Amino acid sequence: MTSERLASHATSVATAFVCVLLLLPTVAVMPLSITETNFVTFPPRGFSLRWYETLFTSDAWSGAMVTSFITAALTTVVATPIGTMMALGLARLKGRWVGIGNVFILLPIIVPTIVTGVALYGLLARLGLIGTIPGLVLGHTVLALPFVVINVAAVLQKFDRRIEQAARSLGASPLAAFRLVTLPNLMPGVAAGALFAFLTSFDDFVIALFLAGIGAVTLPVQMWSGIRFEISPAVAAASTVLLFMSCLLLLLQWWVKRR
Amino acid sequence: MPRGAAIEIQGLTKRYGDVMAIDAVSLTVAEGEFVTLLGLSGSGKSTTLMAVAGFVDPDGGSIAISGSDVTALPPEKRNLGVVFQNYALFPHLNVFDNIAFPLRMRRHAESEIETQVRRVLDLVSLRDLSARRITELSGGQQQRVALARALVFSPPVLLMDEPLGALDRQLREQLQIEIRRIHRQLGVTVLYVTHDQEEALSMSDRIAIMADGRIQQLGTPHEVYMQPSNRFVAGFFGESNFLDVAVERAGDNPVLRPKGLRDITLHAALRRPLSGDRFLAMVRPEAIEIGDSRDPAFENNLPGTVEQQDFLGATQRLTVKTGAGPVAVRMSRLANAAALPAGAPVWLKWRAGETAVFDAQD
Repeated sequence: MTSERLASHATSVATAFVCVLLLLPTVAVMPLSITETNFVTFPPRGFSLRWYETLFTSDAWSGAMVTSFITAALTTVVATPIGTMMALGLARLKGRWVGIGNVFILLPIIVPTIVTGVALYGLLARLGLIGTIPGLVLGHTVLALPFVVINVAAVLQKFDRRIEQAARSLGASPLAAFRLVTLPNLMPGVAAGALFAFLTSFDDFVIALFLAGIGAVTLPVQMWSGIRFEISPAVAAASTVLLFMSCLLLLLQWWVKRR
Repeated sequence: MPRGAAIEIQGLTKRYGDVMAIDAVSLTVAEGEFVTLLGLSGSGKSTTLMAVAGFVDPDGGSIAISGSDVTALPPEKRNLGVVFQNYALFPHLNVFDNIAFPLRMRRHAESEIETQVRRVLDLVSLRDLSARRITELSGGQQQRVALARALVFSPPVLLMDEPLGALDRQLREQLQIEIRRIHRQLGVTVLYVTHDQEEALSMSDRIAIMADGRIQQLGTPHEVYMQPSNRFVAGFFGESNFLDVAVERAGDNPVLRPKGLRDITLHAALRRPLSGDRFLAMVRPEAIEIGDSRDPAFENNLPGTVEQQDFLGATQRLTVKTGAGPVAVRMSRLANAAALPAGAPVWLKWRAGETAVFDAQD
């Protein structure tokens, strides 16, 4: 009895330790952002929100935030319908095509992002899309598609195709049946996919580094410059904002799923 | 009030790979008739129904409704009410919007929709539930919503695919009665699929028993129960006694001689000519009466000894050993079974009309 209890306590302690280990580096950035100094120190000296002010007032930082938001929003708009259609198509595959289709769709996750980045750089440079938001959106759509497909496919697996047939038997054309019956029932998956698409674009660094040029610098790329050239506490502030955004979106996703 | 339309199925065939799901099925359902396709899973009954609904594209044959060929028509253009297995209600819409769906597809005015939905909600006794979410309904209520949704646009034909399969016995019986009432009230033609023989017997005007993608027999409940055309059909409707017989005199009132009995002949009423050389005579256990001597009032008399008694609730079963093999007899619970202990000699007697004969090979 006591030994069992001991084992259970030991498990709790170990779990807590792992959680702290996972969270610590991420959370440690937050205090760095409230320092009064012009450079990153630990522990922070004094308390000031001046680096958050810099984030929202300096052209470089606020411009990067706007670019990140627009890129992420457009990526969501492009990747969500395409990914949804891919998931619908995938659900209709039969036999060995199922496996082939699944691997093909997961390819952007399996292939190292840097390889995708290099490949996209070569292609988009030729098209003159380096340093433009459309170029970034194209690149991020490639990354985001698998996440949309996975989320929609998960809902589709539980979806009863007979309600589509029921709609047809009641007088709905194939398009009306899809719009009025299939799509509303896939919405939780589509919404989750859209959130993941947004997050994927918002958090991406590798692809953006290749494609940002000087015209389309996103927040992660701006942070990288900030660290490389000045070790500014603004980077810590930007990290905190990014962290906050990601948590918010994940919470939103959890809330959507629960409904 | 909508009148039912006739359904004519001609030589319908559907193949999945090497398997013939339905093999040259022909069936005519008259206006306002209630016809049941009865069979085990894989017999082709659902495939036939789904072909009529337009969800199975047949490899051959044709389907006509009201005399016009619909074989190439998409499901939404056929104007048929379909009730699916597990109901297939729209989970994102409430009861009212589920039922209003077919009327909205037909672009009816909202006021007309309101009236029609109220009408069918009354018909299926769900007056007060129109604002409920589908997930808040019981199985029986979901079934009623599915029925209302399939009827609200007054289709001339109602197709039902195992509509009561997911419900418990008591609810099933209650809904059987209600579906029959609605059928009578609306005069709609019903094509109904089930694997439940009692359901088929109690609800249908005619039953088509299906196996291996073919219709084995088509007839009224009385016909398929009392004069099955082969052993499969006989076995489908509960217990039956089969006796190996030779046909001594063919014709309308054939004389049969059970194998292994020299001085006993049996009599049957026959609707079809006999062919082949091995025959089976069939008699239902509840058609047999028990006496203590040969009784000239009955065409068929067979001596035996009581082997076993089983109490079954409403009825009791007696197993009687005869020269032609064991014969099961079903008696009312009220019959005096105590007078028939194991080993007691008895005479089994039944009417010629209760005996069916068919080729043993079928």
